[in-house]
Amino acid sequence: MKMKETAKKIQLTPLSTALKTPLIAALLVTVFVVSVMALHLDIAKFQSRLANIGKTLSHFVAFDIPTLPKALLEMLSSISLGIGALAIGSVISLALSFLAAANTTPNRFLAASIKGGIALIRAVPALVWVLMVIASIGFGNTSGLVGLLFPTCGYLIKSFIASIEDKGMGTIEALQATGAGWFEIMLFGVLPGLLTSLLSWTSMRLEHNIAESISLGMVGVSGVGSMLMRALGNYHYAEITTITVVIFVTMLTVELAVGQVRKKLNGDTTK
Amino acid sequence: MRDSGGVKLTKTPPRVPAISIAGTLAVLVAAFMFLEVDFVELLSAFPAFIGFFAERFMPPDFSGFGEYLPLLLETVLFAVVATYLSSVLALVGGLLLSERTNSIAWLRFVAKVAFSVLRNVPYLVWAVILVYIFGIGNMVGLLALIFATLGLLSRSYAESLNEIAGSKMEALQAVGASKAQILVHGILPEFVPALVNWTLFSFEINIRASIILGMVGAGGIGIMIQTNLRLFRYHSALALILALVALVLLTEFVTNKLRGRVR
Repeated sequence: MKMKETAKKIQLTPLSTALKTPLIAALLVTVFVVSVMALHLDIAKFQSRLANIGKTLSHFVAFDIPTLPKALLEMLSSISLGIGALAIGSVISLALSFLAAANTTPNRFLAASIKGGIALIRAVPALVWVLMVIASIGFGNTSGLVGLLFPTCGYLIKSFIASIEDKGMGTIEALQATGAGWFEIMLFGVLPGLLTSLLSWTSMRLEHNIAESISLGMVGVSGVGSMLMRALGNYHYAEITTITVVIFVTMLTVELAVGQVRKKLNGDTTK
Repeated sequence: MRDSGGVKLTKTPPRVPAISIAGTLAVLVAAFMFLEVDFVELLSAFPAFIGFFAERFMPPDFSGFGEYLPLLLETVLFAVVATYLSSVLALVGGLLLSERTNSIAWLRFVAKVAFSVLRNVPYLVWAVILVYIFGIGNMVGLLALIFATLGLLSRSYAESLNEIAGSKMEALQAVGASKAQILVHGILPEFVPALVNWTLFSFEINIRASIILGMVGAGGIGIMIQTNLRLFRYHSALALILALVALVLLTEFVTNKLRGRVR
């Protein structure tokens, strides 16, 4: 009797939560075990390769200086593609997001169809877009640009809309009372206050765009990705390492630069 | 408006120095010149794509779709297993990266460099290198998916850990709790919502990555998209792409529901 009472006293968490935790844990473990079993992983083959990993990796410890200029040039082409798609995409996104945001749209039906279209566009991976464009208009940088435009606009329009809707109706209603037209209200009333956040979104997208543009090279657009695929095809280990290092250093630089830009932009808004 | 007697009516936008505008424009012009993209060609490329899409891709052909269903399931399973493994590894990574939980400076630095390399090389690059080392197979796909999210997830975990640990550490140290006790009873329970949030986010990334990885021989549905496009079976390819769109949207819907329940 006494034991029971003390037991009741030290029951710190309610019974429902105390039961919930092991239940969730059991569920999580079951999902994992079932998924692993259903996948039929080829562990045996993997292990046999893993046994030789030291020897394989030792091939990669090499750097090919003569490849470097070519790799950097191809990298520059990948960067240009990412920047180009971002430039065109941000202009398109700017126009469409003002038409689609709930507080600035001239027409509700238009807003709903833009938002729905963007949800669909975003659900298709960038690489699939590029493959579809390549199938339609052939290989080349133009295909890369057009293909990258879709995911770029998908990301930017969604982010831009969030920023615009954050501003609310205040300024817009005030300016409507003065008899200003839609275009004037947007250009002089809404846009100026949004500039920093829109630029911040755009700079964030730069990182994705360059990463995607490197990956595009692997499916047939030119750039550092296709150079890497050629090096892999030729079993040229030193070249593979060199290109990977170039990719890493570039992406790290972009990450740090974008971080700096955003810091500066955010500093502006707090002033 | 400008001549309203010195009273500023509009909020002036933050000043962007002319030099940054000129610099940005110069970079843009250089980029387009370097790509040797013809503007006329670019302008006509877009309608050309839309026209081709409307004519050759539409309508989607769902006949024979049944044979893709196992591959579609495999794609989801890959993402599930990879998310589990990478979140466990990233928890270790997060504990190593956070200065609140790891006081050894050199170890923190090594972890920082390692996870930065993981994060800053696109996952498709990792995937082709892994396929090269281990040969085509689904273990490679799994490994590539873990690579795809581990770097990002570790950093996010570490940031959340840093936010939580601040005041709590001192209070618990003051009552004489050991390091392990602080971690298990003080920090980790509060970390759970952030952990769930970031893990669901990485699941979304993994679903997308899992679709793509098939294209470089790392298992999953991606290979079928490419095969269909190469064989000019555009209607079947579109059916597959629509199925993937449904999968991605469904994933987002489910993860958002789960997020709502955790809060």
